[in-house]
Amino acid sequence: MKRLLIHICLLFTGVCFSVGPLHAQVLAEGTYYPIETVTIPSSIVLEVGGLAFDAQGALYASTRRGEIWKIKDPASSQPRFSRFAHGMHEILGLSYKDGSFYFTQRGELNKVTDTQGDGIADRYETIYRWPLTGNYHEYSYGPKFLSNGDMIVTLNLSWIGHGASLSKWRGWMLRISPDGEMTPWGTGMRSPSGFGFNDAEDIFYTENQGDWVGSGRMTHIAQGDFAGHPEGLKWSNEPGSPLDLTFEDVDDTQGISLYEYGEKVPAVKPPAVWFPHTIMGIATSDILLIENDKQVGPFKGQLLVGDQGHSKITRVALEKVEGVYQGAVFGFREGFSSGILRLEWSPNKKEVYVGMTARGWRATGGEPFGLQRMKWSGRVPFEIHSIHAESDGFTLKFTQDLDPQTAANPESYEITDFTYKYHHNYGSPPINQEGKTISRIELGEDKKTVRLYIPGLRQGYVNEIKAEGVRSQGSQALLHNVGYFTLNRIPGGAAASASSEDQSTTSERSANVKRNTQMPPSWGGKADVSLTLGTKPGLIFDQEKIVVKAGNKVELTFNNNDDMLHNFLLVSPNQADEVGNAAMKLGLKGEEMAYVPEMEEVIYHTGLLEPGSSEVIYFEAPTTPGEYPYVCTFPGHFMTMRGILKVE
Amino acid sequence: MRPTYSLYLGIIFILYSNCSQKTTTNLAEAPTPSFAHLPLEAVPLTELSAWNNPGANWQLAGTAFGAYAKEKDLQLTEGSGILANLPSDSARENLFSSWEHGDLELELEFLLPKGSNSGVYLQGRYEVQLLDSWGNGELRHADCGGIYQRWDPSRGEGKEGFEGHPPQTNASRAPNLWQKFHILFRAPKFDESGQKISPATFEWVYHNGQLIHENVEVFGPTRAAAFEDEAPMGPLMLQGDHGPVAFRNIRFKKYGAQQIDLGALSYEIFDYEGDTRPDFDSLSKIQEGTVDSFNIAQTSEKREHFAMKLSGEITVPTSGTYLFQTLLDDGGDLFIDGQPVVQNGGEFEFERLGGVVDLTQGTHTLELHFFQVTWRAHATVFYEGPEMELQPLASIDPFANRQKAKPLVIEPGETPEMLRGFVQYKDEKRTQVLSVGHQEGVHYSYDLEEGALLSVWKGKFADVSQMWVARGHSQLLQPLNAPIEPHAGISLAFLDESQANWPLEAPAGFKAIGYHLDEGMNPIFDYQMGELTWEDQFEPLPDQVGLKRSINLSAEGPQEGLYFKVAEGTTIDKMPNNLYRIDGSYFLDVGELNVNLTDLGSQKALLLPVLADTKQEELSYSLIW
Repeated sequence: MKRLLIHICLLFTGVCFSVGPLHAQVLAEGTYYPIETVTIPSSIVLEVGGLAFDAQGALYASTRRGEIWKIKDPASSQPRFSRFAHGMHEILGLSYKDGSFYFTQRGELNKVTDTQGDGIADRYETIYRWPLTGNYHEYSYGPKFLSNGDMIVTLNLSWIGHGASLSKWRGWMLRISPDGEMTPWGTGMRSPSGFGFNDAEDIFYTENQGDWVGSGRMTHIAQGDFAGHPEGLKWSNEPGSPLDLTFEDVDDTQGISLYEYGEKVPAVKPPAVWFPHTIMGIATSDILLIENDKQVGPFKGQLLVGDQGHSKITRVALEKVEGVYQGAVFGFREGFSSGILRLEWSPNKKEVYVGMTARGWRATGGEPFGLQRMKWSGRVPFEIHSIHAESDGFTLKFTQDLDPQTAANPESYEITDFTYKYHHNYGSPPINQEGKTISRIELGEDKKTVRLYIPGLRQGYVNEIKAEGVRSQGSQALLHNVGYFTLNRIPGGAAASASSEDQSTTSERSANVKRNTQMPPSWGGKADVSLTLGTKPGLIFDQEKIVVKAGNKVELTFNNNDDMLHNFLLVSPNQADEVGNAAMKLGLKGEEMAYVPEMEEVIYHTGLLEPGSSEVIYFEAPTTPGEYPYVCTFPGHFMTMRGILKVE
Repeated sequence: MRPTYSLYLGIIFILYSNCSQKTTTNLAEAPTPSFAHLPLEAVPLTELSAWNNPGANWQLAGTAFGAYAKEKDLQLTEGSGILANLPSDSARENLFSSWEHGDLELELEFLLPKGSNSGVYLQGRYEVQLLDSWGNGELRHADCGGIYQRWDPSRGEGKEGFEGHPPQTNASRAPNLWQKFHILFRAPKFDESGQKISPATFEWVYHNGQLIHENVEVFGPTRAAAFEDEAPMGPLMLQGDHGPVAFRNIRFKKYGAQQIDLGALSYEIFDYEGDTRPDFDSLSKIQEGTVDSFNIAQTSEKREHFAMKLSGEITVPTSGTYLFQTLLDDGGDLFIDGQPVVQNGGEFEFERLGGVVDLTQGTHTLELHFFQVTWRAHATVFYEGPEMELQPLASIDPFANRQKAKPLVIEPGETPEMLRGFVQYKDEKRTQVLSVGHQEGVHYSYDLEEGALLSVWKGKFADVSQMWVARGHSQLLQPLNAPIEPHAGISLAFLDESQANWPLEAPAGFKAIGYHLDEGMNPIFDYQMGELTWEDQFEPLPDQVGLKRSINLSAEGPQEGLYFKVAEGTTIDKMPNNLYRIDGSYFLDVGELNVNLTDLGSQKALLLPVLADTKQEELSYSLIW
């Protein structure tokens, strides 16, 4: 079985490169932000969990295999690798301070030091230890240092068919002093692999879609905040807990958003920014503050966010209104080689080192692990710099002078708002979508801003703001023409914060011939063949090839036993890439459409299956013999998750 | 013991507490109430009646011991429970069981003094070698655990020996320690005309828990067999003519061809959407029919949620105790004659649960009440009975053909290799463990939180495939040879005069600081308790003899009532030359240390008073196995 898996992996690595999604976009981004690869010796499995530089400018990478590698001259063509430390359990965070390295492994926060100065760590100290049950999903992340020397760490939930806090402080963010004094800081976390600080040193963490989490998001965590996943609340009655809300207090509210739930339950902290699933990544990770305008362009104070599943970096511009953070996420740079877990500035603060691992989940980059760096060419791309809420609309700030004609034309913009359900289910489709009308546009005197007047904005909603038609003075199109702005506070008091009485647009599409979940009566109660297809962790089907006869009446049971969403599409010969790419472009409608694009090449399909669910579909096999690919078109999956239905 | 057993036991014992009140079983009489397998039958060692005309060299004993370094030193005390062979010039008979066997599962413990040699002959014909192979590097068929070669003088001088099978790993312990074999043997099979149709096969052999043979076919009796022919049945033979040896805990199960028969199963499907055990009386039936197996997919029902009853009659060939197991996705209960035998309320893990029941020969009703929550619907029913091997009953075991994961082996280089992963210690998964491998071939796992030496082993270091391949669901580091598991718990404590209450948890002020590396990159573990600090470190003994532990304590002044626990076990035998033998599984050389052998509850322990009249003390002792 293992051998088979490796085979599939090699097979599709080639495919990834040839069909790499949205290559034009990647090429355009590359002219502003070139990516260089740090060559890793073939004997080293550098599944990066943490990155840090020492005072001499050597880079250190901690790995999932429990090692810390020292990389001298990482920017040279021949970086020198030496093993600095080893024997830890999956190190998913690394920091350097005053001659020592600090990291988390599964069960503790540690400090390691090379006291002899021979390049090998010789002192391993425990700063704080927490209990583990032994569940594989008990990952621990961090630390990152606050300016007073305290450290922040986060603890993943276990997975037992759903996220669960099986031992103390799982699902929490902890603040720990250098001498091991621990303060439980906040909870409601599910998979908090990324966190960081903005320029005010407020703490933000990123979350991945999952149970209780409608989509990826970034949440500001002040002491005592509850971010939404209730499992961590099992420990809220422990000494030191900063909140009183209990696990039993949280309803499975079915239908209202986390924002609306937060209006009823004050401990709830709705996210500062939602990352629409599959559009702005699928597995948000590290957060890196842009400290000045000389690093990646005029984005001082904004945040870069990694994405593990989509091998890309997004950019977040926050604002604070009435004490509450909100802001927008934009595309920034795609095309990294593996799953991005860590981002770290080079010592001169001009390059971003990107540490990657895809083991167990896979990433669009295709490589199992990697280390790259992203530079800035010095040219400023034409981008939406930031979006700011106004009492009756938005101000969009751009990075270059605008062409007045296109910028003032309402046709250049398209604005839709929506939100997500807060419920125990895995993920949520966008709900209550509503198109917005721009009543007036004013151009700013600085030639870089646009004031959009929009009636009927709704607090707690995500606004998809497309500016596809806007051109710069030099007639350039935007490098990324859409931002997703989460509106938590309308300045100057809320306008109508519309309630989300069920206007859901998510009802199942009516049955169609491509997805038949009932046996056709004409079959007389009997299929010619009954097939069962399952999924396996790592984005693969459990069978690579299925053989049927032309015209066979097929009853197919598709079991999704993974912990992610999957579908099944049977497509025309050689059209898997075509269909997969089309599914990726469905945007906000994707989830509602089960990521099934409306195209001839799709022959039959299932719905989008939650983890642990199944669906039976009935279809007649094509009458033309041939090899028909089947594929999961959930964005990011189609490159590896496919097989062949051979029709004889 | 096979390692897989311990994984099962955890789950199975949970269920035991759930269903023991409800089932009609005679568990109290069963020697080991396990729902993974029926217990093996013990050969009584209170008398020699199970053996056919035992020679004078065979006797019963209460204990068997001797020095590990002294040639053929096997000493016995009077009593029973141990079967010993002390051959002399006049008496050196082999020993034959009074019963005969075909297919056989056999478990036995043995103890060999230095330089000794014996053998276990299945059917009196096929030998698994017993030899003092302690520390042997290149393994031959004649090493301990080897399947001895066959012998044919007609093949010509120097070529007489053939078809021997060395063990895959040297899992041998030091002389005069108890060792264990667990063997599944398949007798040769013959057709009606007496023609052999399949050879004798060792399906697996475990030595001290380590797999040493898998599916080894033997095409004729091995050298020094008691019979020249091959046959469906034969007695078990213990070799008595080569050297002193002792045996204990000889247990077996014979397997024959009889099976339980299952007639047609009628099924009823009910509308049900819950995720816990349904009340069937309140459900409405939506479908019924007849099937011939527990394969749920066999019915035309494809709903995501439903409940189902399958019922039929089984014909039991022999009266006796039967074990039933279910492997269900998602849950349900198995009833025999209306009594619940196995219950699964919808556990998340897809694993076997079991229960036992006494059945008389003849027909009984069997019912499976099944419910389906999400995803896949699956049911396998297994049973085991008198001379009936554990097997599926009219259903498919989905794990039967699962390939073993390819190992990912880590070996130490010139300096010790440290690995942090979860470690299975007895029936617990320990999560704060550092494992250290030495190039010298002696390795250990150490609980950093307690400062406890959990396990030690020799040979190859570790397989980390369950940690580093894909997501690594168990995150278990697997030693590549059978470990000794000394004892867990904290090692240092203040005791009152009785010395009888060793604390189970670390006292306030106890702190595991971490570890630092010495010049040879060996970790030295650092601890603190109030003003007291100590270091704990390990070093392989030369020639893979064992592992030396050194502790260095210091405080501001002498400490009253402070003790270090050197060893703990059910039995601790004091031997000459500062040696102790712990549970018969390892020796402890305490050197000049003045240890007290005391009782700690039902256990024995070796305690050492430390810092009684000094503020600094270094102590060391060695584990030898």
